[in-house]
Amino acid sequence: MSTKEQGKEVKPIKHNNLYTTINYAFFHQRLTEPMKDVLCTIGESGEINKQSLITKSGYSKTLVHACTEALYFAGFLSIRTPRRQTVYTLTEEGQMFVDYLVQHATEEVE
Amino acid sequence: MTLMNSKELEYMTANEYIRDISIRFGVIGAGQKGNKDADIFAGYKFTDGTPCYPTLAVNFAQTDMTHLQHIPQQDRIHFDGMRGAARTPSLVVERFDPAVNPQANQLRSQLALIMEQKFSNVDHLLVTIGAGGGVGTGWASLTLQLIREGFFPVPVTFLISLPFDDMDEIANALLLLEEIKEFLRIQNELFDPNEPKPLASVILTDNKKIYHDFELKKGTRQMQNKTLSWKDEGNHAIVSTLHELNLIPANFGSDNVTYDPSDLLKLIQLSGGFLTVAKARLEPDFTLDKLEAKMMASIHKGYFSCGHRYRTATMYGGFVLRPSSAEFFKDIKTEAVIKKVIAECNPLFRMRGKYGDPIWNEGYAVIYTIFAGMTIPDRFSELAEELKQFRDARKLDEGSSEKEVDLSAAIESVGQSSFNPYQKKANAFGGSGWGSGRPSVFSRQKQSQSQVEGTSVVNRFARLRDVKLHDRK
Repeated sequence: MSTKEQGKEVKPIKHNNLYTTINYAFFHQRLTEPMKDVLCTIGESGEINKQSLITKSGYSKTLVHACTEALYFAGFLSIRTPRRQTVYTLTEEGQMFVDYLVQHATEEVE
Repeated sequence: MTLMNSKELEYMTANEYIRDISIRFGVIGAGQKGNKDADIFAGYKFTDGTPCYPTLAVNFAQTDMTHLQHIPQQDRIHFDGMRGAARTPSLVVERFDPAVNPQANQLRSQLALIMEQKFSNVDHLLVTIGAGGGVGTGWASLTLQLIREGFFPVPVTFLISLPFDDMDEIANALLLLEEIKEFLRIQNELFDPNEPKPLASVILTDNKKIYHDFELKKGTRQMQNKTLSWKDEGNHAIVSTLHELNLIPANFGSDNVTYDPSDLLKLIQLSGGFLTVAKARLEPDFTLDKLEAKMMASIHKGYFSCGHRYRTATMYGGFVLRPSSAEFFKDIKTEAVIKKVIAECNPLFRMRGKYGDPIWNEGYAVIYTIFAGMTIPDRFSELAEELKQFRDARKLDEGSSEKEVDLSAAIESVGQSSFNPYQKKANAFGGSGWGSGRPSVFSRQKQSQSQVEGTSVVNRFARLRDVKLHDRK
């Protein structure tokens, strides 16, 4: 099942114990630069469609697709498909992950 | 007493024909030019004396509204503490932006309340502005933002006049047009051709053309010794044509092909692009050559013409308001000529549309032709070229090393702005959410955000971009 189809019907099940500092560290370990850029682009835009995401991120369609799939799988993105468009936003967990990353980076610098 | 600012409206008023309108427009005029247009709309009344269009005037400068004749004092919205926008559209946009102004949501609520009261019974909103000035341009940009947020429960059409001979105004107008162009592009991706669009149509008029038209008129023997204000006359010509267009389908029938109010509604609400209107009077004797020449001239040289790309039109419409005794207009050859003229602009198989022939009892005919769903007119690129020439000329004159403003970069940034989906129609003004979505082209929020360390969303992600990731083995 594609992400598009998943986004239409299925919402990620929220497990409170999944989104903990330990698990964010796990996600952080596996985060790639393109995934981070895609995460930032979506977050900065608030809500963005696939074409604009490809344009703004500067990555290929395939790579953007792979990144959004991964971020969706991690529960950081929500996907809507209004009128033949695929539209991405950050979920609450995605926003918290961003906070974690920013804080984590600051701590590392300090 | 109703306003009778055209020969046709004089006849309709004298014969008590003004009983209904096709589309119940609510009119908002922003800025001085928009206020003037709205004031004309406010002057139109039905035969029973009730106003045809509920109207609001919005301005940052109270003095701009002092000389309005038809809009009552309570319908003139002035924002306290403001004394004009001095060709700075950002002032308007920022005032309604919750990220910049803490009172923005309160202002938006007030605006929603005023509109709810004034426009409770309208089908469509007509926003009239002069592109280039501060308030009008900013208001148009704000309107686009509010449409994205689902603020308006009915479709919106813009009536925009384009500036000339002023660098600042042209620059503002270009940015606004680019924002509208991008808005329409996304809207057309999201909506099917048969769906009503939130931004229904955009009607442009070109002040440069109107100025030259009246300059020529002034040169005629009849007008040489009369005072002629091209601005006032131009406004009346434009607004009266739109009013007639709205009146005729609702009040004049035909024994051949009736152009119904629903036909006009469909044309304006479904096209989702640039729309233009051509009006031509045809005096007897009626001949095919004269009909063709008059129609052609009205389309290509009329008050609404501004380099429209007729080839891109998706819809057309119109009617000949014909004398009851003139069988000429029912003849098959007449119909063929009308079709030929329209097809020369854009082949009929590429557009949807209908042409009617309502009857009146005057001795002459009036031909109204509409093209809708077009892409941005050529006047847009001409204006950009004019701006470039102005700048080049000024640089030469000054011979200085003044830093040139890079408009192309500004325009490009609009195209790259983030997407925000259009929400479904709400049932009331105000919509469901505040302050979300893509910023206006005139928003200076980005600069201010980067100045507030650690508090803005943009900064959060900017910092995230700098985060070094773990090395992956």
